[in-house]
Amino acid sequence: MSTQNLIKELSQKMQPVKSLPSPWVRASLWLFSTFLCIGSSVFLLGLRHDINQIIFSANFLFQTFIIILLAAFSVVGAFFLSIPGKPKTWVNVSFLFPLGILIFALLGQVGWNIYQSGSAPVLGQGYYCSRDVLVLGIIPGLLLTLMVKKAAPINFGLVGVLIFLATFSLAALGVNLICHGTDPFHLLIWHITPVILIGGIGRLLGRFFLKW
Amino acid sequence: MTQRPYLSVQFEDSHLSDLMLRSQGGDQESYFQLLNLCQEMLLKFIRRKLGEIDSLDDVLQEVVLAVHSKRHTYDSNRSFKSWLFAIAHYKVMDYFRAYYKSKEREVTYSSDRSFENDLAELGISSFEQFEFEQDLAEAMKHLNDKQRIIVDLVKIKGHTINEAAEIVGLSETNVKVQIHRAIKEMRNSLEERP
Repeated sequence: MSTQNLIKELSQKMQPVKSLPSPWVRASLWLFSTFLCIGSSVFLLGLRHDINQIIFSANFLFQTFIIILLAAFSVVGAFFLSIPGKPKTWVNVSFLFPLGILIFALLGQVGWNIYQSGSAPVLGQGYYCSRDVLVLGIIPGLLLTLMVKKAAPINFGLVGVLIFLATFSLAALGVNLICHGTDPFHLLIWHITPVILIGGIGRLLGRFFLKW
Repeated sequence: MTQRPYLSVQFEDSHLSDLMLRSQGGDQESYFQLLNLCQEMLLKFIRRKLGEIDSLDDVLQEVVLAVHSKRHTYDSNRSFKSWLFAIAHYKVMDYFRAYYKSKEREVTYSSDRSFENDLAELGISSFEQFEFEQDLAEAMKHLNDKQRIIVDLVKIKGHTINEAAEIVGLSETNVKVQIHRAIKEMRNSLEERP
């Protein structure tokens, strides 16, 4: 078929389409539905027993704020990058800011604890926390992937990282509400490190599940 | 004096954007007009990226289809041309990736076919040249897509750094870095061979 015939055929068969809402609107929709999804899962699994005390702790509130910021920046970046021709702006790398702060804060706390106690931190058995991070992130992750694929992502690697970071950082926040561990070393190794590792995997997998 | 077609009013971004908005609303006439204008711009774009190749029309149709299927992603607050060429660039890179993958498959020797036929098909006249081509293809397998395309463009097809940078959409410095890394990688992989 010649290109001219193809154009004629596409024009004749063309149906009206609704243009995509802005990345901000789509990011808000996803964040809202993810809060609902992870929130209800957390209630089903059971909140940590010391939730009434921890919820007023400055450290916990700070971590929660930074994790939400990381998820928000990542999801906004993913939606902006999924529109062809969108110029590279601060949104593409903004996720590094909360991620850096989070890692720095946790490492600082770990270092401070070592300095005070004079002993090396204990790794402990927290693999179930990492497992919960993975499980809680599955549905929001699928939803976000579908929403991003509805647009036209081009930078698969970065979009893959952002999808995984947004999804699993909120899942880690959910696990923070279930797991009663307060040791910063535990939080760093079993809650946050899996998010970073999964984000890295997103870079590799992006080209497979985002291709269009 | 001949007027340059891309400077005329119908190729202005505001006009194209207006046509796209009407097309999104279901105006078939506007859509037909838009795709025809896009076709002209895309043909020039793809020809600049790929040169005069047999499959030029196939790539063009791929881009037109992509534009059609992703027309709902166009945002009227943004430049239409930037949206269009981003899709075109993506599809051209897709073509490059597919092309180099098929080239790799071609060079892999298949034992159920005659050796002479394979050499003839590859346009290779001697066993030494065949070995060289095979070594090269093997070494290039260790490169990522981007490096493979850049090495082929600059070192095999003879494009300048500037041309290659424009084709792959990277800065000249980045292209140089990629070539440097690719050559190092290829050298290592050839040295590791028995």
